[in-house]
Amino acid sequence: MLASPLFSSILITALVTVASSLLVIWNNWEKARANEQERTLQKIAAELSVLKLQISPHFLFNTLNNIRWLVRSHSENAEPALVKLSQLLRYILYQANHDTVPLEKEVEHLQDYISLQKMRIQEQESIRFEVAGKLEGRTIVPLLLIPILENFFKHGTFAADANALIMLSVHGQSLNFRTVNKIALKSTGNDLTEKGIGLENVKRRLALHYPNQHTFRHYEDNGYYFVNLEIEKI
Amino acid sequence: MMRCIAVDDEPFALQLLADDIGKIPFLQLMKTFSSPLEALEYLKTSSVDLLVPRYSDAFAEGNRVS
Repeated sequence: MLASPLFSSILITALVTVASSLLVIWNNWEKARANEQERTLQKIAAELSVLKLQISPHFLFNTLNNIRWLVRSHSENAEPALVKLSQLLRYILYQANHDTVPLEKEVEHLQDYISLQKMRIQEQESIRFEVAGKLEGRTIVPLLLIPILENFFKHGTFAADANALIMLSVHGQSLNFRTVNKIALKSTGNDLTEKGIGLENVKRRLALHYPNQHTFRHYEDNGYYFVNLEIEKI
Repeated sequence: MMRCIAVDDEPFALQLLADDIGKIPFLQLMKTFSSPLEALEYLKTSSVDLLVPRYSDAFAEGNRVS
């Protein structure tokens, strides 16, 4: 055995140096990873707030303009329309800041949105909105479904026989939301790129909030447009 | 009198536009259209002096009639 005291102390010093260096390196690495995670989180948070704000200014100004006509023609519908618009704005400004909202609130919001959109449609009876199942106790990411409705009203045509349908149903913990609308002839030159943005936002929000827990399909078939969203657990 | 037509795909906005045009004494509103293509059809057989396109605001650009 060559274990002289000198050799032992050199060995111990070396071991301590290596160990502490490793500790420092590991610490730094851990810190870098935490920073990286923090950055990712911040990025996602920023992206989420932007996506939430994608409520269409076009819709707001159209609605105001519609109400302007109701006022000018002394229609008794002017006041209820204003009340709905005010509820809708209140919801967007205050409720939508929360990560999730009670499903009942979101459904009320959908109802306000639908009735404001319906104002400009002659055959209002051709659009059905059905809600089925037990909403109480369920929550949802706010404003998630609005872009689907925007798409529905923007590209749909609503003659008496068009049979447009918006349906939201809850089975236990799962949510199904689907829309069917007859597609309007593309005569007014609606550009197709815009069509993509709304549903693209829905897709991204779903991926962020309900990863691997949803199926989202939208397709055209025989002049009709179908959107079908299933979230397994809300 | 100036002969004019109005185009807007929003029915209420079109009514507003028609109502506004009615208030201007030297304008005569010939017809209103909800789509530029219909207006274009009309223009093939009739002549007008003024075309009033879609009501537009700060955010919503009018659809081009061309």
